[in-house]
Amino acid sequence: MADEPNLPQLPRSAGNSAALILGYGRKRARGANATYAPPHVLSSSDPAVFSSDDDAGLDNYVDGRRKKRYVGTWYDQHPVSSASSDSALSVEWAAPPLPTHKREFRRQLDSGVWLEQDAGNLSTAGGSANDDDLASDAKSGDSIDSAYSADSGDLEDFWFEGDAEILRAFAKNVLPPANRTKLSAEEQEAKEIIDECVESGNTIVQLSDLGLHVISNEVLEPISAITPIPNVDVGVEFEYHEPSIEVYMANNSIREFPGAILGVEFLTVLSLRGNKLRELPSSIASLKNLKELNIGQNLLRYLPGELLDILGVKMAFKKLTVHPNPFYMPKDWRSQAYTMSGPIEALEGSEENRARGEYESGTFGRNVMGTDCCRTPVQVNDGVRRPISEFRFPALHGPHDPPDQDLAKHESEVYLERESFWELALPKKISYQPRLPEDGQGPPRPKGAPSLMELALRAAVYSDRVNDLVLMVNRGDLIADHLTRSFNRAVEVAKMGGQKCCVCGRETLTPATEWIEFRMAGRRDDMLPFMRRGCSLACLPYKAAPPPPTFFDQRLAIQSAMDDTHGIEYPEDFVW
Amino acid sequence: MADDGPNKYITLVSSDGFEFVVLREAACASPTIAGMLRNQMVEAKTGRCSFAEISSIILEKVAEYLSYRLKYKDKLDVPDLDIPVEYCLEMIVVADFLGLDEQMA
Repeated sequence: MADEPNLPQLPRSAGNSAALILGYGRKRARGANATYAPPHVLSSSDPAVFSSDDDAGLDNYVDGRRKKRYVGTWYDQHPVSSASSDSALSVEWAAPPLPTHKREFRRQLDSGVWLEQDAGNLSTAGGSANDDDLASDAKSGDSIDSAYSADSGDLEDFWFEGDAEILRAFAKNVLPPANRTKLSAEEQEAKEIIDECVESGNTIVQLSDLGLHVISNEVLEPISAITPIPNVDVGVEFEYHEPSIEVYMANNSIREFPGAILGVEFLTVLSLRGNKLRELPSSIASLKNLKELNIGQNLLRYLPGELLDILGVKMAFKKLTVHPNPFYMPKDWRSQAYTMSGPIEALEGSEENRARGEYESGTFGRNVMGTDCCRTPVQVNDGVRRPISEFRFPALHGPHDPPDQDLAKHESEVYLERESFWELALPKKISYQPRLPEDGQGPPRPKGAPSLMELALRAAVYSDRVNDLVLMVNRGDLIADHLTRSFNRAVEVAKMGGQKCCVCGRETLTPATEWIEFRMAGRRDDMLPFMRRGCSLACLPYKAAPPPPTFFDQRLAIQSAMDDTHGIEYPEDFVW
Repeated sequence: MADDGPNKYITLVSSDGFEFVVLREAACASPTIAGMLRNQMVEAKTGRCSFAEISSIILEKVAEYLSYRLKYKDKLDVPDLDIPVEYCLEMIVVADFLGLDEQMA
């Protein structure tokens, strides 16, 4: 060991291999006409062994390459000085004089980047190879770093002064939601339960009684990934089963229907009992595999008309539990009152499904639905959803309204006017007579272009920057109040999966007509309200020729008769 | 001039001075523009409607929409008109102003 000569100490530049490899060191290519490929990081972390290793542009001979101007061994290179004996190298090259002026930080207005001036920055490599040079090199590297950090701190200078707030809101919202919103403790718990279900292939997701107020889509989305673990016993043939996922979210305080649930294709059972929902999305009809739906004990005033589609006899639907809810009721209709405050045990413990507000799919058969119904007059809206008709629904409560202190108001019974099927009251403001669907023609097909308002709203609410827009709109002074309301409503609808015209099937965010159909359900006197929305003034309820007195009228007559003669006994074979 | 033979085209002028020539028939889809072109308004005589609060970018899109609406009048399966998300809020305000918010029946 002692015989071996000591290796000379590496110069500092070689030790600083990163700087060398990155091309920040003395070998950085320079010059205005130097169009080499930019130096890039080599894959090895070793210091460059061969002189060409550190120069990625070496192979690019297109524009010629500056001759190397260093002499010495690999560990002790230094630039050729003018006094060098190798005149061939030094002829056209003279070391530029070291900069004498003091460098200063100044903002380069044209580049938009805050950097020190470049004059003396890297030219030291051409100078004499002493330690001072290297030191100043390193220092300039540092100063670049600090310049960058100053730059990022100074970010808002690049924006207009007034936009700083928008910018901040924007930055907050373009970040992926996982980073942006911290999940509440309840949501975290729900997330863990769902993850556990996904992990173990458990198709029954039990999220009841967690005290959830909000449940975000990102928490619910993994539910669609649940697949049951197949039975793999000996002698059992592998069989593919479509998963049948059951989600229970009963007894929480959810106010907005969780839109992500609609993406779960194989959802068969959904319970949202005991929440604070005020509206169901019309796109609930997209859940084709749904067999059971429990939406009792919410604040629902009406059901989406589209629900009737999945209640049809052909569908798999088996059981719908709708009561108790403060549903709208037709005027003069006497119903058995279900109140929110009623004892739950009594409701659930009852033998008869009817008392629980549950319906077997059979009761929604054609015969029941076809005849026993009535409807409200039509509320006609202008383009931004302000009612212009005489009849209007009581102000609906959106999820943005002040919450629960006036729960009683939400629970109170509201009776709506009725209109017979052969009448159709339209506001006088409408100058033209809309084309009404005629017999045997089927529903009208959508014609003509959507309105500019509708197009603009669609562009807004279906863009991926809808959150920014909501923030901007609700800052207040940007657009008029009625537009803000219309916009918020459109965002709400879009979040729940959009809305289609119930007559022509065209998509609509600003329905022009709204009315409620009451359908009789169950065996006895129970009317369920189904909201219908049309996209244009031509999309109206079917106007029938005046028929003989309907079943409904007869029932009313009988009922009022019952009032008079209390406790009347019907014969056994009495048929309604 | 206007009474016996009104011009088939009218001109929409934006706040920054750009002019868009559209069919009168198309422009009258907007009740606001139709009102400007009626009666004894200056616009009715000259056929030029100036909008001091609508910029050219927005007004161009409006002109495009008016033609699109005329083209697909009474047609089935209308393709969507693409509105860039940057302009959609302004477009909502302008649509309200021009009365272009009623769905065609």
